[in-house]
Amino acid sequence: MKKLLVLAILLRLLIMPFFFHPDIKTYHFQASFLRQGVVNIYPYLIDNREKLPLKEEFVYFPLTYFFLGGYQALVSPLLGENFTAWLSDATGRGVESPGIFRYLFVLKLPYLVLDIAIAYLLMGFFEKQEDKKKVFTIWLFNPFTLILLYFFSNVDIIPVFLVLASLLAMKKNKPLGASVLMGLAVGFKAYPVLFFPFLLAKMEKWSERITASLVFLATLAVIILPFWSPAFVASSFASGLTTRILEAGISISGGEKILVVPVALVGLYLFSWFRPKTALWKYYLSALLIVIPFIHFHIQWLLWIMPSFVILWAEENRYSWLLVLASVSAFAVPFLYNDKFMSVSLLTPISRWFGLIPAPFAIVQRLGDPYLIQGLIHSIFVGCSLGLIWKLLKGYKNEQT
Amino acid sequence: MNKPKIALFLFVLTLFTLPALLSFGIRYLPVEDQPPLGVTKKFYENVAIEDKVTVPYNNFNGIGFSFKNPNLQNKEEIILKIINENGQLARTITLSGWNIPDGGFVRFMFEPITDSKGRKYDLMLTSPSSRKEEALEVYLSRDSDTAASVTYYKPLSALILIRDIYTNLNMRFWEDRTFALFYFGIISLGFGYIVFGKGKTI
Repeated sequence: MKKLLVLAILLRLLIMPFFFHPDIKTYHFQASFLRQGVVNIYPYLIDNREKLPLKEEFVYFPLTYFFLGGYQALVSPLLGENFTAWLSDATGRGVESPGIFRYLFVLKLPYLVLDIAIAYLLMGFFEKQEDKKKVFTIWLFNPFTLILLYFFSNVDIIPVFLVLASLLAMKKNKPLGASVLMGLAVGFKAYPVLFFPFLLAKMEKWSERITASLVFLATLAVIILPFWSPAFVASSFASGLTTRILEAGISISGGEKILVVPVALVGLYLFSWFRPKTALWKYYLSALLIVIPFIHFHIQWLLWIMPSFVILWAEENRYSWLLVLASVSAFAVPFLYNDKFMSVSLLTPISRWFGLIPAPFAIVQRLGDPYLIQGLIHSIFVGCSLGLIWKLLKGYKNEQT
Repeated sequence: MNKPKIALFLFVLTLFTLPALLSFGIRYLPVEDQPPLGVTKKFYENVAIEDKVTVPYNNFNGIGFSFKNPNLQNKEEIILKIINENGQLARTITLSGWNIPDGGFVRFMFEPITDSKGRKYDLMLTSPSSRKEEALEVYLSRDSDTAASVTYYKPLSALILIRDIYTNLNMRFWEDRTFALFYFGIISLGFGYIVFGKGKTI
């Protein structure tokens, strides 16, 4: 295992400094204000938008700001004096900075730590040594998580880690610990809130459910209430998952529509209530396979499903082809977005000339309608997701977790 | 060689050859960065934008400008004429206003002019069918009356391009010598452990 771990770390170190997605620069620019004493970033960015070089709002929940800002403060001696100027550079020439390789390496180090920690957490879902090694290997050597974490600098690794830790706490029959961890995960990003009803359904007594709910809400209140303001709501809720899950619907006249994703989620919550013995991670994965495929998703969101995919793969090898097909089709959809930073521009630290290569969208456009092709691939992802949900809820041969 | 060594070898090989493979997709390179943008200048009917460029490379194959097209109201033809030092028309490129986003940077690409190195070219940007009220505007360089343009040339050969990419990367990586030494140090340690470390398999 030791050599396996060193190999996994080495592969990650090899790619960390050479791939750049602008998100890492944007949210570290925003988090850099913590070092200047800004505690509430949400109104600060909106009030000072005119004079700031990067105009984006801070779309994450407060703990992400404190985590990134705190880490930045900790490693600032390693980043050097030009780092702040690099963060503030809005010209798009940041990839040419002599410090780019150092910055990308140092800023991605927390992802590496959490990535490895997740590999160890995943082993906790299995009893046999052989299965532990299998899940460890699949997590560390599948290309999808490598791409999501080190190409796209995906800060969602923090809530993903906490959700997994919460699952493990629940597996060890520690519902309060699981609720606190879930609350902390939501403190970074909103999506784990989708899982809380499943956590409650898994508990046997109402007293447990009430206590867990109070603990979860108290954790959230401590994290979020101090920042609750129109600026926070506009930044964190007005875009992304929270609004997109309300998009797909069936019109039923009178201006009303039945919303596809909430309907399916409510159905799944009820199902989990009546079938509490099914492993919790299967409900989490099913919920995500309802939400993500039915919306216009960010590639970063695919990281949320990866730990469960890896558990399923380790547990039931026969479905590996389905998991690969689902992952490849899921990755191919954003790859075809009209955005070069989904593909060729990720390599601009190596040479900024790669930004001049046409994006896959433009290449496909010469052959046909890129949106139609994107839609077909997206449909494959939806189909695979439905197949997986059916298998997860119906049960399969080698269930251990 | 056992599995981890093969995996490591293949991974490094892929990583190292990826830039070379991608370089085949590069059809043009910029001569310079676009200057900072200043005010705009309109062109319509018989009002043209005239400019000059000196191209330092052979294979001159494109020129880009930033445009203002408020509310995307202009959908007329835009014609760029490139005239050589002898006053002869070297290239004509026609685009539609449909393709000009407001504030967007638009490239006019054409067949490479093979002997362009060191030569001067006159540029004439016109849109005879546009009316004044729907006129497109070109951004000029800040504090200047010349267009904020970028000239492009086609790489002379794929091999030269690949060489330039790796040379530039190597040069830039070693500009931060402390980090480069640290990075190669830990990578070498990792490689050493995988290749020479105890235990033949993982």
